[in-house]
Amino acid sequence: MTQVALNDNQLAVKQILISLCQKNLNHEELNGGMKLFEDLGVDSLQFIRLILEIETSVGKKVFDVETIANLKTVNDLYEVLETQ
Amino acid sequence: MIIDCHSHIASRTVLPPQFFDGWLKTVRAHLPSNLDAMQMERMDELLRALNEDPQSVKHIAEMETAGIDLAVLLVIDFGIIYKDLPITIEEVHLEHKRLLERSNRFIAFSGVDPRRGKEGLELFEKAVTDWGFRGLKIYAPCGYSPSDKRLFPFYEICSARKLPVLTHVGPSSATLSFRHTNPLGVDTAALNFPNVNFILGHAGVTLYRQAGLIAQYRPNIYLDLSGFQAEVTRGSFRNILKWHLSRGLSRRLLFGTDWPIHRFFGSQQRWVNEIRNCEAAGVLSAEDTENILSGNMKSLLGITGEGNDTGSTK
Repeated sequence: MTQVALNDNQLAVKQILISLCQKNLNHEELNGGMKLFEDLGVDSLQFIRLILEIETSVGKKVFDVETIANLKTVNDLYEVLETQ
Repeated sequence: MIIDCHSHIASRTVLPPQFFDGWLKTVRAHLPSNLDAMQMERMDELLRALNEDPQSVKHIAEMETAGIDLAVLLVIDFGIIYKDLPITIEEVHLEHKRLLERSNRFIAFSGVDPRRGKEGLELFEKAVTDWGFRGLKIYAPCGYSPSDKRLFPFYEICSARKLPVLTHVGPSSATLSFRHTNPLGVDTAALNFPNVNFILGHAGVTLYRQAGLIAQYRPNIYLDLSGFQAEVTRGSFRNILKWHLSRGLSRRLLFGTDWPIHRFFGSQQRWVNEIRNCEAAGVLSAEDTENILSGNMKSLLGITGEGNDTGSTK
């Protein structure tokens, strides 16, 4: 299977998720289709940290309440960054 | 049909900044100390933005996407406990009345602090007689028990008019008192007013064992599932539902969202889907799902059809 190369922002999201979710995942194991809550076990406070860490990493505000409410998967996070 | 038994108008006039301040303090206290000042400020900004939908445009859009037909809007009377609120409790009621006139998607419950005395009782009576309000909201974190005798005249009106009462259970904003928020706090009122149906707000998930036990033995106690969003992310929601069902409480559970409080952790569609998925997973029967999503609340409100079609006391 051909792997699509991730850009810097997506790699940063991956790194933040790996450090936050405490599942001992590596970059290869964490894929875009994974669900934040169900698969990665992100809890409410980790979710808030995730949003804040991503915005700090990209250096700008990229989320609003509506986009946050619709975040389900890792790909959803990538998509928000792409549309900025 | 789906009825949300627990929601609010997302506006500073209805849920004041002081209320949100307490909530922000609690969230801050749980976040790691290495967050910098800018991140804390951004978090405050995002959480406060939950409360910015004064015309309920976003609320209605979310309801439509999720297939929620009706939502109960609850008035909370913060006017005794918080000072310097932008509008009076009567104006808060009128803000709800205007929304009822604009949209047939909403039902409103009046909310009056019993410490307002005769004037407060008159406001409640006007709300249910002239303005189309269809229940009473008790907010115990403002510092009074749902069994406070000053509420009994309100309950007499509810008994005569068959209006349900929803009372908050469990912790709330850190700027308020949790003293009277135990499920058992409603017991004296429920005992003295057997014809009034009492909904324990959030108690389907918060202190649910105690609340469920009371509901099991008191036919006029119902359990609101709003606030369950956190339990879904923790993976414990289905076990909580199983616990209720094992005690025969299928006809006492009510779907609720507590809009706008839990918006961050999922759209309304996600919570509706979670209930539906419980049926797909065999946790709920089709009848249980129907009871929870609308049937039980229809009975409490006296709704017989598929819309907001009866029970108005106008």
